This record gives sequence, structure tokens and C-alpha cells, in this order.
Amino acid sequence: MRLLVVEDEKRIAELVRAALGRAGFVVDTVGTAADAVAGLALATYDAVILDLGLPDGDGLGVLAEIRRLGDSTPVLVLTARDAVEDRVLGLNTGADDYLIKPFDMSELVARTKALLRRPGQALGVVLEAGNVILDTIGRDVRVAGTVVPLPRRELAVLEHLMRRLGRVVPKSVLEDKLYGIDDELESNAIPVHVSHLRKKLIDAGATPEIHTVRGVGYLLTEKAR
Amino acid sequence: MRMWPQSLQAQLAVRLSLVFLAAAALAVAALVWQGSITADTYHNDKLLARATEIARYVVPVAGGRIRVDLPPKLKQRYDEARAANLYAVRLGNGYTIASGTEFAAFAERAPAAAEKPRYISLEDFGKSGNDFYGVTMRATTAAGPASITVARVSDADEVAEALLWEFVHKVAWLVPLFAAIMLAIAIWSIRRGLHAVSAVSVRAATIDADTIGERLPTAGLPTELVPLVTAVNSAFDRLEKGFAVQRQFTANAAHELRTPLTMLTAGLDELGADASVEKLRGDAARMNRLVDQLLRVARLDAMPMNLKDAVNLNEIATDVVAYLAPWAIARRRELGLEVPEHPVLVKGNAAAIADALRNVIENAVRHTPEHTEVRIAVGADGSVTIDDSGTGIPATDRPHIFDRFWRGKDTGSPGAGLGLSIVAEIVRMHGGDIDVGDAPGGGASFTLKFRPA
Repeated sequence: MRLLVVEDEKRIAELVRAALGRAGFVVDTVGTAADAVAGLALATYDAVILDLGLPDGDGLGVLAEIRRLGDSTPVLVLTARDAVEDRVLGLNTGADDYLIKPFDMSELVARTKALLRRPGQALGVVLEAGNVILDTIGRDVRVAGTVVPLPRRELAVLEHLMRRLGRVVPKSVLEDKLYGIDDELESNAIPVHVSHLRKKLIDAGATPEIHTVRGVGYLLTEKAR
Repeated sequence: MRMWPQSLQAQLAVRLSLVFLAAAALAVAALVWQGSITADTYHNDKLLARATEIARYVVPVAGGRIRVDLPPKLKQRYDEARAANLYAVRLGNGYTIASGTEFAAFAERAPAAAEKPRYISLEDFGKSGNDFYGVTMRATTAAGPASITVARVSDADEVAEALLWEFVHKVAWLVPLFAAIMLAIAIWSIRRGLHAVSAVSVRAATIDADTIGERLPTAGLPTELVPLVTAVNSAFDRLEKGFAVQRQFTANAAHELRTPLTMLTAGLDELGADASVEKLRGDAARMNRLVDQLLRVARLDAMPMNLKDAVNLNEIATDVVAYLAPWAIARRRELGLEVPEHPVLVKGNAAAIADALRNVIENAVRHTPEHTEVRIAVGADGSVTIDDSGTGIPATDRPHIFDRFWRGKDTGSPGAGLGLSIVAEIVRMHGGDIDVGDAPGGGASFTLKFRPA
């Protein structure tokens, strides 16, 4: 998978390239807004890591330009600004996620993978977390290579948790995705699915773990902590 | 106490009323005075005419005497109305004839008429006891030169009074009418002028931190007010420029501080797991946190903030807990949130409130033991309570924990002592309250109370 890193600080660009390289990505780096637009026109990238403070213009300008051209490549914005207005502006312009400097490289890699795990993106078909593999087309789940049969809704819960690995999936989102407007929804339907799913994963020896954030939702972590 | 009203309208109304009353009084006085002068002249002429008239009817009789043969009309005046009209004719030889003995006696005593007519006043005269006003003049009669004196009851004052009444009846009602019309016009023009002012005031009241670029319009304003509005606008210019400079500075400072920190953090990530590297990572993390909080303090101090929106505390708390949960779980701590069924709307800035909650929850996670839960509860009254299961905050420390750079003696926390001061500042800006107490079970309990929208 090929990524474009747009960052004018050479040392940061190098460190980012190294970290993403170790995670198995092919990384191109450019240092200016003009090179970024030119690079995106020439090659196809699976995701873009975009710094906002560029010597020849604002990174948001690059973002607006590529979105204007109808390019829907996922974009992760890096910024040294953290005023909320800037964040909102970034997401309105079409950024898919943002990270505030300074950031952990592991966080950058995780966020990048999360972008690629979205439906239709490079990692969006076969989802991986630890020793769990979920084939979104074949609709089967393997733990350490062994198929674990899951009812439809438990599999859907796992898919959503895996797509947002390491981040909270609100209970309300799961309710919306799993149940149609006409379906009758018991107030404890989601907790029941999650608890069954959790037990089955533990029994199958899965390394990822489902955590409950009481009152908010659920979170899948890659390794048991 | 203020004796004079501050309102332009009231001031103008009072002053105009006073001026108009004074003018009306002066006009009436002048009219009455002029009236009485005219009445006097009229009287004098009338008296002279009467004396001349009397002279015409003097008829000489034998022995140096005379008779006065008055026609019926005059006879009626001097005989029947003798209490009001008097005459006397005195010849050069002293012979006097008059319309009554008292008046004859008076005319005999009086000096003879001189070249110029002499006007006389008689008070409380004769049987009638009336006041009389008259004239003595020299006239040529059929019996030779004579002093003729005529007098009548003085009624000059009555004439003036009559004039005044006439004025009051026919004209004076116009005075309050004119006064009312004048006042109405004055108040109307002031209102018109002030309408523009109140429109500008309404506009000025809407200018806020996030609309600091707006200016007050001078179009349609009375020219007297344009300098004030222009001055206010240029004050806004200076304010906006100050904010822009401040904002630029914090943005630059953020970038300049964070770029090397990013390199340091990323560089340490490259080095792998080693006890001394772990220590360096901890140091770098602490530095990152300090820079982050210093920038927050700088922004809070320098930036105006829109605090007027009605924001849903349930949503904010849910977002913050979802954002912090992965970090807390990585540290083997849990987060739990309870919100009321209905949205809890408070007045304020969602980003700032989220910042405050984030700071308190981060603190709670740092102080609660492993495998315990930090409990966050939104109250329907606009409060958020954050309870942990740590050792709590000693009562002696509670007054200080919101001071900048204050740190507890025995805390192993990596903070710079800025987090809670930021929280307190945000809550203060929202006109809310922050309270610290004991959580059930012994930890610290923070309650942030915001104002319901």
C-alpha cells in the first residue's frame, strides 16, 4: 500500500517514513503544497498524511484542491495548531482524521490503518486485529486461523469494532447500524450481543479484547492490556 | 440623587416648556402694560373733549354770572349719573358753577387752569366715595375765558382688565396649544435622531469575540453622532489588531515548540525498549504536556471566546469520554458515564467545556488505582461530577489546587500544575462554579457547574 506524506520538516518526514515503512507501507514524501498536488495527480495513493504548515501555502489548500478534483483518498491531517476552530475547519474541508503534534508514531500508524480499514479502502475488505481476521465479503471470522461461527449481528458488531480498532464505537452507532427503523430494539440488545461476542472471542483464544466504556460504547484493543 | 434628568428628550421637554411659559408670561405682561397706556391716553383725550363740550354750553347771565345749558343727553350724564361724572366751570372772577356743591368747593380751591391741561386724581371723593380722575383746562366760553374741570370715575384699570380678559378668552388658549405643538415637534425630531442611535447600539451589542471584524454603520446617523461611532469603530480596529497579533503569536509559538518536540518524541520511538529510553520518553511526554498546557493558558488569557451558545452537556461529555477512553484503558483504568435522559443545555463554548472536562478526567485517571473506574455523571441542573477512587485531596490543599503551577507535595503526577487552573478559568468564564469534595468510597470528587441555557 502506497502513502503520500506531505511534511516540510525533513526530520519529521524521515521519522514518519521510517515508522510507516516498518508497518509495511510504501511511503513517498514531499515538502511543498505544489509537489503534493503534482504527486497526487501522477500516482494513486491509498492515503495521504498532510501537514498543515507548508512553506508554499496552507495544507488545507491542498486538501480543498484534491477534494475539488473529486479525489476521495483518505487524508490524515497533522497540525501543530490545536485551536478547535482549526480542527473543525480541517474536517469540514474534507480531512478524514487529524493528529496534533507532537504525536506518538504508534498512534500515527494506528490512525492510518484505521483510515484504510474503512469500507472501500485498501484494508477495508479483510479486517485484521491481532490474531482475528474478518472477511467482510465472505462474512467469516477466523481466530488464529480457525473459523469461529458468529450470528449475523455479532459479526456486524465485530466488524464495526474492527474498522474502528482502538477507538470507541458509540452504542448508539451500533444500534443504528444493526437495527432498521422497524426493528424492535430491546434496550439491552447491544450489550447482550457484545457479551456473547466477547465470550466467544475469549473461548477461541483471540488476542484482541472488547472493552466497555459504560454509558458510551465499546472499544476493541489489538492486544489484551 | 440626580435632580436633572439624563434623558435628552426629558431635558428638551422641560427646557422648552420653561422657555415657552416665560415667553407667554412676558407677552401677556407687555400686552397689559401697553393696554393700560392706551387706555390712559384714550381717557385723557375723552376728558379734554368733555371739557371743551362743556365750554360750548356756557351761557352768560347778568351780574358776571353764568349758566350751563346742557342738552338732554349731557344733562342725563351729569345729573342722573352724577355719582360718576362731574364738571365745574370757574370764571376769571371766581364765580364757579358745578354739577355738585362738593365739586364746586373743590374747583374753587383748586388753582386756575394753566396753559397746559392738568390732570387730577380724587380719591374717595364726595358722597359716593368713588375715586375720580379728571382734567382742568383753560377754555374760551361765551362768558370769556374759564377754567373747566371735568372728572369721571376712574376706570382705567378696568379697561386694562377687560383687555386682559379679552386676551385670555380669545387668544390665551393658543399658548398651551402652541406649547404642545412645539414640544411634539421637538420630541419627534429627537426621537428620529435617537432612533438611529438605538439601531447602532443594538448592532454594537451583537459584536462579540467571533464577530470582532464587524463595524458600526455611520450611514443615516445624525452628523453629531458620527464622530462617536467612528471613534468606537477605530477602538474595535485596535482591539481586533491586538487579538490578531496575540493569536498569531500563540499559533507561531505552538508551531515552533511542537515541531522539535515531535522530532524528539518520534526519535525516541525509534530507539526501542530500554530502561533509560523509557525514562527519556517519560521526560518528553511531560515536556509535551507542559507545552500543551502553557499554550492553552496563553489562549485562554489572550483570546476572546464565544460563550453565548446553548450547548448540550450530554453530547460534550460523551465525546470527551469516548476520546479519552482508549488512553485510560491503555493505562488499565475504566471510564463510565451517566447522563440524564433529556439533553442538558448550558450556556457556553462547547470546545472550552470539553477542554475543562478533559483536564479533570485526565487528572482523575492519573490518580485512580489500576482496574478502577472514573465515574462521570452529568446532572440535569447543568453540572458534571467526576469521581475517582484515589486517595482524595486533603482539605488543606483544596483552596490551592486551582492556582497556577500549584502541585501537591506527595503527588507523583507528571503535571506542571496548570490543568486545574485551566479548568477553574474556563468555569469562571462561563459564570459557573467548581467544587471539590470526597467521592463516595474515598476518592476525589470534582463538580463543575455551568449555567443552564
